Amino acid sequence: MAVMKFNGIGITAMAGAVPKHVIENLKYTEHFPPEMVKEVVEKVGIYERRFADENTCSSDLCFAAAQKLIIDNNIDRDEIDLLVFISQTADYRMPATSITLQHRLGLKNSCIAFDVNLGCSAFLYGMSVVYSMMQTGAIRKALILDGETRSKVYGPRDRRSAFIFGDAGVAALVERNEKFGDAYLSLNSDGSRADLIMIKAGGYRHMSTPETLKERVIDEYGNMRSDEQGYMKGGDVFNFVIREIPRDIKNTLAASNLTADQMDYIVFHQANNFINSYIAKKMKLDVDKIPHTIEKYGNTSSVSVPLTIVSELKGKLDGKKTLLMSAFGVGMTWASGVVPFVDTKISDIVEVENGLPCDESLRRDYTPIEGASEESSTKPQKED
Amino acid sequence: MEIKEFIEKFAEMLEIEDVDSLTPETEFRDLDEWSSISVMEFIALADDEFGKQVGDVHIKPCQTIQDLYNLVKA
Repeated sequence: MAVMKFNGIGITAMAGAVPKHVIENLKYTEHFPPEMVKEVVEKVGIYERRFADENTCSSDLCFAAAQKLIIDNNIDRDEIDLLVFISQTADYRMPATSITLQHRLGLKNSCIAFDVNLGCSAFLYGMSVVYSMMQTGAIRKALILDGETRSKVYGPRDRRSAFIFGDAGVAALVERNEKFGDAYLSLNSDGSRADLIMIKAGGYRHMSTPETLKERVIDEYGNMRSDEQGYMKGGDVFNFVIREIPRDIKNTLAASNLTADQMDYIVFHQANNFINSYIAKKMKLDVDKIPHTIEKYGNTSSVSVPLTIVSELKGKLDGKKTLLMSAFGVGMTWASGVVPFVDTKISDIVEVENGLPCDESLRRDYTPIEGASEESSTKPQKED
Repeated sequence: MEIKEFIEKFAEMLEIEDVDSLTPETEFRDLDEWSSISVMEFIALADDEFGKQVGDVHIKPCQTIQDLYNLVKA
């Protein structure tokens, strides 16, 4: 398919949130010997991650990020006409988490809200949906909320995934403005590789049973997990990535009539340092233009691209900057973007504990989602 | 690339200093230096040096260094 082109739409503000609890990977030795842990940690380049506690969900991280964005930029909540929540770790099987966030954030009932479930490349998919809807002219401001708690997905006794994943949430405000110029997005899918990264049980094909919850040995290395936990065939994923990603980046750059040298920054999905370094080397990219957060936040799935922008490009997006974005993962799906950022305002990353922003000024009273009566108490609240 | 040179690259990849300890018959999974990460490193080596794309599915049936060489040489 041709690369999608959008005009006069862009991300004007961003904010991020992470759980307060830091995992030091070199000390994450409960299930494996320290020497083995050290070798894996150094190869994948992940030294710290954040783990959500039992009361913190992706929605809580996104709520904190959205509150920070709205308050820092003095946004009128009634001007937010669209909320898209991106995650594969939703609060409930139903309803969609975006709807509960519409309520928690005090957005109006005429705000469009829905979820996008996709995985590591999903931020670019979310952008494509939001940019397309913005192109109609009917939407003033849109929020992309992207959150994942992958720490709850992968088991600690499977060394192939135990040291990789972390949790985070990001909020991005999208607005129309001619100053942005053209943005290009390329989106791809290959369902023949659906089993490379998968959580097999807990959906409707393999519904949860006591059996699916049992951890068992799954390979000759003694790795253990249950069918309710995610697995990843790392070698096949890497093979797929080195074949498809350079090609898609080239196609997207060609569509934009720009070269990699003309990019101000190149932001990759933070898979692991080995994969990212290899792609950069293979494509002969300028590593000084490639910000990274893999060492301190790990792989946060779909959040990693926007989180890296929030964490590393704060104060660096004054004037017009063109970013090359590339993300890939579960599906398999992969996406590339050549996206202009113009004076994008970036807030400091905030922390979340027990489901609430640590900064009390970011909290907000709302009628609880669970236990609300069928009658009046579920009505959205106005700001005080 | 002859197998001798391949073994040198393979040793470099695993940071094995004593190259002579490796032969085409060496069963690579028995090496202390071989780990789950090595699979990715080997995939990178195959791509970089041979322009060959291999995955877990291809490496799994391999036992010896000769098998890996045959894989990238094919």
